[in-house]
Amino acid sequence: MNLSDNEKYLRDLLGEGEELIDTEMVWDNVEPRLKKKRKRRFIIWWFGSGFLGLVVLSFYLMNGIPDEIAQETVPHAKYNPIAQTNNDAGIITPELEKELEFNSNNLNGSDNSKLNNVANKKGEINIAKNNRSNYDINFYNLESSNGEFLGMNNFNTNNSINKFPLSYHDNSIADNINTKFDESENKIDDSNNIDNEKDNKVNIIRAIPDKEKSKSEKEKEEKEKAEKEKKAKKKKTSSDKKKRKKKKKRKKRAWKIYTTPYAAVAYPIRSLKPKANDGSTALKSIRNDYEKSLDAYEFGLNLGFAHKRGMVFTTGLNYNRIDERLRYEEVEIEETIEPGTISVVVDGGGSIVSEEIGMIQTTTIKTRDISLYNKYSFVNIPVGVGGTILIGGKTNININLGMDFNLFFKADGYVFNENKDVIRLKTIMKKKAIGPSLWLNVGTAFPLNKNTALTASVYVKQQLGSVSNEEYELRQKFMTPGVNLGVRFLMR
Amino acid sequence: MNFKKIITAAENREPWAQRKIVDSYSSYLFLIAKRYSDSIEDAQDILQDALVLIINNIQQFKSGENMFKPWMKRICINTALGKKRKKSYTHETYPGEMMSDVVQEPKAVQKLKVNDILALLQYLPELQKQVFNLYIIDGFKHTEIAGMLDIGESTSRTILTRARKKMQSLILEQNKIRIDESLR
Repeated sequence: MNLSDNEKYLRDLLGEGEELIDTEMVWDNVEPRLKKKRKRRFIIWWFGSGFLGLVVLSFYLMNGIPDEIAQETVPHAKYNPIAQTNNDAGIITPELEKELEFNSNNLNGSDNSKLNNVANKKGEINIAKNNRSNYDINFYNLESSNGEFLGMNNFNTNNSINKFPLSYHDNSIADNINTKFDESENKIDDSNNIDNEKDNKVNIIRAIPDKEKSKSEKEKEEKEKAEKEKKAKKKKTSSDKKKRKKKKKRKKRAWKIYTTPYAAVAYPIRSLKPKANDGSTALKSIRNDYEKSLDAYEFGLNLGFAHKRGMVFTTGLNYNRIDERLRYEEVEIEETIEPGTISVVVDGGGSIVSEEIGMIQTTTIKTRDISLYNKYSFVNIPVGVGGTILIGGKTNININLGMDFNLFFKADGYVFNENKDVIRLKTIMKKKAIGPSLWLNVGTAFPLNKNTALTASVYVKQQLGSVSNEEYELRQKFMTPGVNLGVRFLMR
Repeated sequence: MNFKKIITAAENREPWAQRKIVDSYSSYLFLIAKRYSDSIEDAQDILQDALVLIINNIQQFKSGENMFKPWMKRICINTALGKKRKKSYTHETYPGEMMSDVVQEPKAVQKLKVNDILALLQYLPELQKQVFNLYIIDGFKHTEIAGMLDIGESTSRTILTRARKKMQSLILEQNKIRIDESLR
């Protein structure tokens, strides 16, 4: 390389020289495009806490089944019409912003003196709307402050709406309110107290919803938000476009890790097979006769490892629940014997010689429908493998095949024996784990932003093992086709 | 601050180390970027792109401190050339007539400052400017230049000869203007 003196001078001057530049400005432009420190800890904590939450929730659901499942019966409507609407119990709508009060003097039920004269009562109250203006009011489990039991369901009345304070005259009120009250914690607001009769007030203790933000606050927040967005837009310079192009060019990671919390509903199909050709065939027919409905749901947290070429491995933890409803008719026979006709023998003089009272026997047959719920709970670890295929150059379809390995299993409820007697399910089906299930899942993802996507899929799961143990004469396996929705987060 | 410590920290994506690299080497890289660009804005873009590449790929740098500047310089030049390549430019056509021989004045160039030379470089056709920069200032061989610019080796030599002559004439012209201005 032959360089003249002049050229050597140029090389020295320019080759190793420097040109001052505002490094603050350079850093501001460069910093957003630099690779950030890996947030492994964040991933571990995020997934760990989700996993732990799911375990706790699963155990809560598995162990939260009350022993008295048989009492979850639905009596026939003619016995207790209010019980038919109790499914909505406890819901207090925001319309009930003001304290709900009424004067117990207006109640027309039996023995109002107990209700009126005992201070600091507590118990449960159910208010059910019958039509546009009338309400049924029922008190349950009433007791005084010193624990004296005052009665159950004693104070029942049909009150006209006019007997309630004006604040309650709202047609938007919930059709059915079932809640607890405790007068010792009474917080009567005098401003709402129409007739100022504090002594006989029953105050319903309820959760007061968060106060809504005032309109002016909302407007202010919206304005601030709009201003921020404007400023952010202005900041975007031509270099932003270049950054985007550069980002596109960046090499893709070979593996991406996703986590997907999801929930699914399914329609279970049960196969019921007798284990032997003895009485169990009859048992199967009894089960089929009494079984009314089956439903299932599932939720969980999936961890997916996706290769850039499309291969996906999944694992995680899920909770599955299958509810089986059985319904039968309970017959109650009441026999009563009452005095009926009187046979009198009279002599010639008109005196009674003998007297015989005839008895009348009355048989009353009462029937009521009883529903039993059998609850099967599963905690599983799924392991799957799959891939992504591109359809029509636009839509990604994910197909995954795998197995759920059962960690815990619990069955509770009631079934029938050969004599149609109701027997406790867990005594004959005590099984700790039911082995693996096979599943197939086909779905797609709709991107919400760079790192998040909404996932939707259909799946079918087949249990390979029976949920009944050897002592029970029927093998029952569930196949659950369902629909699954989730949100997929890109972790790295 | 220990150079090795900064590099290790930058490999671990420590923001303070990334900032240190930007602060320490921006001025050095900016001059290189200026030589290969047509405007200050272009030079700033090249500098920023080069710094992002350098910092995000710092783990690929395995040599000692004395090799860091040449490594960065190479990345900066490649970034600049890549940027130019993207721009749709027509290859310069060289006029048939040879440039008139100019009388060399050995010390004439040494009277010029950095900004004067950078300004003169802008008068060179794009390809001549690139070859002149690569060969004369950055010390690349014709084989390397041919590869970098996707031209033949002999073409590179031809372009360099023309760039040299053009530069000499520009320098002389610049000096004449200066002398004239000083006589006024």
